[in-house]
Amino acid sequence: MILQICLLCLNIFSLFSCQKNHHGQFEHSDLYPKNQQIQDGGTLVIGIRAEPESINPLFALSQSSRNIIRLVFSRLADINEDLKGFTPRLAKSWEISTDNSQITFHLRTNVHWQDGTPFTSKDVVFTYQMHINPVVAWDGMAYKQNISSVEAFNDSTVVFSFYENHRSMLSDAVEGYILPAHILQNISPQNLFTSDFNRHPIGTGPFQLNSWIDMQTITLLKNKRFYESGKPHLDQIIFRIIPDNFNLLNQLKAGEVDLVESIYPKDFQAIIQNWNHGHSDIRPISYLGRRYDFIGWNMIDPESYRNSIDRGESQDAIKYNIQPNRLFGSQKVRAALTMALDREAIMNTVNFGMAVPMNGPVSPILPSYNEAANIVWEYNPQKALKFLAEQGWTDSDGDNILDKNGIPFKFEILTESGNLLWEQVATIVQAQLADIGIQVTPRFLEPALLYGKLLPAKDFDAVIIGWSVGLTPDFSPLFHSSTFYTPFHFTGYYSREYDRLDELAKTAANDDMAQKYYDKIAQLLSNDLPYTWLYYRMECSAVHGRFKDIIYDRRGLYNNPEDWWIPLDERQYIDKVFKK
Amino acid sequence: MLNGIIRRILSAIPTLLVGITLCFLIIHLAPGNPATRFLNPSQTAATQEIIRERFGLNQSLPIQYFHWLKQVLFHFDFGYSFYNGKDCTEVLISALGPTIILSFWALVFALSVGISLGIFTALRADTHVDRVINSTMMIFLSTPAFWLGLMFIGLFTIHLNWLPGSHLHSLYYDQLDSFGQLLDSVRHLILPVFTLGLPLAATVFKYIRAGMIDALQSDYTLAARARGIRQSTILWKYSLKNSLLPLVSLLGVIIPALLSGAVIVEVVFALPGVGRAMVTAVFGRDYPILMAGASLAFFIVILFNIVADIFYRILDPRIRNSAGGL
Repeated sequence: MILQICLLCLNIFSLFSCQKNHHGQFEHSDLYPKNQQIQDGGTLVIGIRAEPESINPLFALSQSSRNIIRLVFSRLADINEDLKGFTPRLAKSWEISTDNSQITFHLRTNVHWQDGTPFTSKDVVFTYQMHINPVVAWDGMAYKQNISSVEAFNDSTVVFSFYENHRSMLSDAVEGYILPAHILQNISPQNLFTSDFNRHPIGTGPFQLNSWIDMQTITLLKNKRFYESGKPHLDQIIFRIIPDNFNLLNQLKAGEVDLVESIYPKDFQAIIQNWNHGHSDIRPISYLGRRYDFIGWNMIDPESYRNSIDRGESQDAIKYNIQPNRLFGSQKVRAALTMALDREAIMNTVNFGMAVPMNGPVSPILPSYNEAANIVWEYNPQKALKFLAEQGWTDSDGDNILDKNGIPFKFEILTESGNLLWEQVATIVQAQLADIGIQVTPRFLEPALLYGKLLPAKDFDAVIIGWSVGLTPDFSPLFHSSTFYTPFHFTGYYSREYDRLDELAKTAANDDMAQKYYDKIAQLLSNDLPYTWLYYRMECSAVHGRFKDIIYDRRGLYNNPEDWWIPLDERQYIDKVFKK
Repeated sequence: MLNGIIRRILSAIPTLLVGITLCFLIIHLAPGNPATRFLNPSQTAATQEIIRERFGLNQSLPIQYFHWLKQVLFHFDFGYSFYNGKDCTEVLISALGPTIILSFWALVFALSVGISLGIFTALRADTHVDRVINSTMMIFLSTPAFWLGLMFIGLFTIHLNWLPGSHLHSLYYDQLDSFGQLLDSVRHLILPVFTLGLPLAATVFKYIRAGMIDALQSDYTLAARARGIRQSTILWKYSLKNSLLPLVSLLGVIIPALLSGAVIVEVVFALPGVGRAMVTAVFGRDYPILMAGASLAFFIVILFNIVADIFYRILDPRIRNSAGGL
């Protein structure tokens, strides 16, 4: 009991002591001076919570799988920090045809697969065939939609042809890791998902798989055939699977694990304080990540939607004739709800300062982000009440709950059970909306039920969830009318103006033109408010201070693993023991 | 007796089938869809259908069930994991080793601690020592395994730095000599075995202590004393033998409890056992792994109940000689 009270006191203390926002000082990579002598060797131990499902780029979905794939495989080119240019990888150069219909890639001729087989243009063509094969169902298939063909001109030259001239032609072409044709062409696409290759991959990346012990460790060794001579610098990278968060953090503190990604903001504050006070060698690193959280309002009436579907009405008829939601069908109500929420307080409470405000659809990490384009609904409960009154919502019976035509303003707000952050947000939203006379009931649901049933059926009132964004803006699956019946478009938002702007932005000839349309989209959506954007999260990670030259930025943490190294005088037992 | 055993085994088969069928229905009828995990914003309806087809989810539930049952009964094939495409039988076989090791040592620990403390306190019933041990064991009995595990990690791993708090081996296990490897494995097993074994030890303790107190106060003990039989003989030959009898049927319950306890312990201590594989499968809606694990659990529970019945019959002449028997 005494111990529990002590733990409670500690929690309360850390809660209050973590209100200060420290993140600014960890936003930049701590690079060693260029003239430093880089020493090879050493071991990096990365703690991960879940076992990767596969190390085959065709089937990898989890972050841990993708991270390992980044180490084992290579792309033709990698996107630069500015999210505009590209750094050559398996392709040493490329040129775009004068009519903008083709890109010719000149491949490196010194690349070998980790089994010794030379890498050629046949691998690039084969990879494209796998990417577009519907049986494989690669999750990046949409990137290849504008590519009409990929042909090998010779062993080191490959030509991508496109249907239309888009700004994204190069990024579409280089999306996806290149696969070994000499291994995978012997496996039928139907059997790829269960093939042995998924756990014994052969790539061209800086590291190669050495062993995978189920639910324990995945060990990668330096690829001695790596095409960038003298790299990688580390001898091995071990992924240690530790499902329990408490255990994972303790192993980080104890030095048994060197790197952990996606640390909870509260735990991250303790790491910052220890680092700042010189009590720990664990360096906190944070950067604007890829995730944002929001409240999604159901803008259509679930019952009329269900009835239309049951009646077998044509999709267009449903889209145009559907009844608006009795609560959230009105833009003014959605605006009022947004103004009634102190989003900054929500952001700081649940993220301990490790987030930035978000007011519109464009992610702040993207070049097309322009905060000035968003309409910002500042916290203003009085104005919220005024908006609601204009829509007929007043407390006519004096029960402290707004009502209209005898119907009280009550609704359920759903979120994923087990996601403590969203559960906290739901509770705060409940309290803040109660202050203006709206009764909210939070409901925490199992993910399969939430995403697999209620959201696709548009059978909900409001939901608190988050999205992970890509490095190019694409809002069509969320808001374009062509995706109205897909699971991601659950708000039922429909706007001809939005459809027009979305198509113009995608087909714009240059970045400046596209920016104009993205600004208009931001203005339109931040006004229409199918979502109330809550905040944009910072990624919180930590790495042992002996690892140098780790470049982390909005692309993530694994930008240059081949460059990471450890000075000799900072090496530890784990760096030396494997040298035996 | 052989007829009785065969009858008992035959009667267990329908129980197993009904249990597995119910489990199949519960898992498949739960709202949600395992294919949801593969959804992405740019996916077409056709691609979603291909993914459903890949896992056989496009078929009706009865067809899915009979197909699964046929594969299991005739080919011992539990299918492939929805999560990673691995053969479910391989997943379970590789996970079974750590679970058996953990459960075996936890059982050994629970029996040795439970029995010895049970006897010790029964002989000192209602003394201060008895009350202290009894209360301590009741605390372990009512403590959730995950909390106990975390406390052990906090104390022995973080504060004292005596024992590792996760995994079966150290990272540098392969670099150690044979003795070093043995020591490393033992060090890694101590905390999980304590966490899993202590609540069970408390259960065993409770049974043994009560049984021993009963036996020590019984008429046959009094008669044995009156005949001048030595106290140690009375204790070991008569009282203990009788108080151990309920433990046999208790083992039929303890073994499944070990398996369910292992789920928590394996997650907290990052051990690669069946429990952890099942937890991952539950969160990932990995039906084939869940069904394979559930089938294994049903089989183990039924098997150990049969074994307990048989042993009970062998050890207790009253049941052996009764008309009903097995």
